Amino acid sequence: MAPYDRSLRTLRHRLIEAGLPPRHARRVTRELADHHTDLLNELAAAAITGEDAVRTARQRLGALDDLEREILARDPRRSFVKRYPALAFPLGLPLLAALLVTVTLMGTIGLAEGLEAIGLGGQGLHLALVEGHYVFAGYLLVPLLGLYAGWTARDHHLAWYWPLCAALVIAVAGGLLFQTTLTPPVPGQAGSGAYEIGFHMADGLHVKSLWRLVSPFLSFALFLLWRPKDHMTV
Amino acid sequence: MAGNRNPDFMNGVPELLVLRLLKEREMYGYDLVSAVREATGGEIALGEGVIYPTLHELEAGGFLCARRKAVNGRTRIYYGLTPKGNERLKERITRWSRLTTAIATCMQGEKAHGTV
Repeated sequence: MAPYDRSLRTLRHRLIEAGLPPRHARRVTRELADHHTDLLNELAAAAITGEDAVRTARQRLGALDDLEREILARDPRRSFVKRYPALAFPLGLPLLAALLVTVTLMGTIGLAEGLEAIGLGGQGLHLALVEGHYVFAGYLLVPLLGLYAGWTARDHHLAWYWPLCAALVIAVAGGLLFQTTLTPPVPGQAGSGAYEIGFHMADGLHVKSLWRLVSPFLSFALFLLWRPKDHMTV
Repeated sequence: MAGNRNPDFMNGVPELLVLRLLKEREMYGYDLVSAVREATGGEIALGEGVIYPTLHELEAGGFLCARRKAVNGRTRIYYGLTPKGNERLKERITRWSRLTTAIATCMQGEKAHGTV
């Protein structure tokens, strides 16, 4: 890696630490890197190469410390996740999980209703839906949130315990969801929905409860194994 | 101007130049710095890295729009003026004209004093 690239990487790190949204910090340093390349090309056309060209290009771009100050003073964009991790992770992500499960469930019900309306699917599928099996199907997507939480924390240079905290809240909330019963409306009769909270203990821990407890941690654990150590602070 | 105790005299110059030049055509950072140098006959050479905080501040304020564009195999971020940016440019030109007129008047007064 060229020395200027290393300096830009340091600048990017410092901008993210200061709260600039990671995506924007990456864009700033990419623009500076491109500009540096353009300057080197311009200098090469003027027969200035090697160390002289690098030094001149850096002088023309300005000291990175000054640039950092200028960027942070003038750019109003700040990351919500970096500023309020206590809101974003233990509260925001569980809400996102609830939304994800609900949307998946409603989508699946809508699809089944549609299939039944055109004579496909049949009663068996419909019964499976109203008995709430598809809540579990919706929950199959929850591990993605663990991955998203881990990636977000890494991207924002946040401590590892924030995504873990989110996974814990999602696991407890999901594990407590004992049963969901939905009855779609039929002509002459209103539909209904019911949530039961509790752990299924009658014949051991129910596989669905177990999945709901464990799934938020799965991708997070994978993420912990994979993550580059220098990107996450403790 | 009477109420403005601290007019951004030189501080506003890069912004004014950026808005004026982007009114002509979309440009990326390096392109814009070169255009400033050319348009001012080399009298004003901006700190080249500092052009980006200026561009991003204007973009965040809705005065510029940015878009990626691939040219000659390289992806650049091109900046263009928005209608809001056009209004800002008009306002900045008015302010700048008033400021330069005020300074010119002051200079003429000094000249007059010198000839008496």
